[in-house]
Amino acid sequence: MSDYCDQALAEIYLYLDRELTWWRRRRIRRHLAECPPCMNGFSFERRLKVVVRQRLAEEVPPEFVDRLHTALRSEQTDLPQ
Amino acid sequence: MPFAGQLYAAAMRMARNPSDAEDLVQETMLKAYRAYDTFTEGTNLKAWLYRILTNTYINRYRKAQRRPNETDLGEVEDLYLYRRVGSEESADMSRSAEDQLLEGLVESDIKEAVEALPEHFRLPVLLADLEGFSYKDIAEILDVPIGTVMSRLHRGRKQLQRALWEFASRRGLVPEGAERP
Repeated sequence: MSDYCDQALAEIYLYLDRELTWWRRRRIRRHLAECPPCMNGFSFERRLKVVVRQRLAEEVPPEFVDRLHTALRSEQTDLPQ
Repeated sequence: MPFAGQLYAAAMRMARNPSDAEDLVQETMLKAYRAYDTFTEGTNLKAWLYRILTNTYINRYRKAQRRPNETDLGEVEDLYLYRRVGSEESADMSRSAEDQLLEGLVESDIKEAVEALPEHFRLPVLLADLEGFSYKDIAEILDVPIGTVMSRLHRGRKQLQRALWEFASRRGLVPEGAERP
């Protein structure tokens, strides 16, 4: 543990979302390289983010795609070009 | 319609049922089609579509739907889930407990947990974690300052973790008393 742990944790989401400037990003990366507890916490959060994204995926019903096509096509013919 | 499939996943978590989600996507696509001349070439088309989706959702469904299962859990600590899985003594043990948790949380757990988030947290979480938008894009889509996006997104994610923990404990995905100090 170092004094930098709290700082790194405060920026964990900014880091994972790639919203940090490169030098702050590099600073965190250096800290993670020498601090296994922070490294583990960060990698858990990263994995969780991936799991959340994957499991929120939806299969679009094919009938809906057809309906949408029809709706957009009729819109196309309705509108004056 | 390259974006319809993507919009549908977000619309499902907003409207919370397939028929309303379909209406939402269809209305979004029609509005986008009609307003296409207001779209500035070279700017972010995906963000523009999500802005239409979000506004459509807010105008059309927010007033209509009372959401009794939405709860604001207040402040949740950082690394909420992580601190509750595994133990410090054995890195291998905690790694497998983490795997067990992450693999054991099924689609319906994650979807329900997201749907239970209050809307001011749910929308930024969906835009960031499902769609991968930048904070700047989310600020524009939701028409709020970037600082508001950050605080809602961060608090929303922590609340999501707390909800996921409930699912995980209920389904026995975590060993009893396995909590990091």
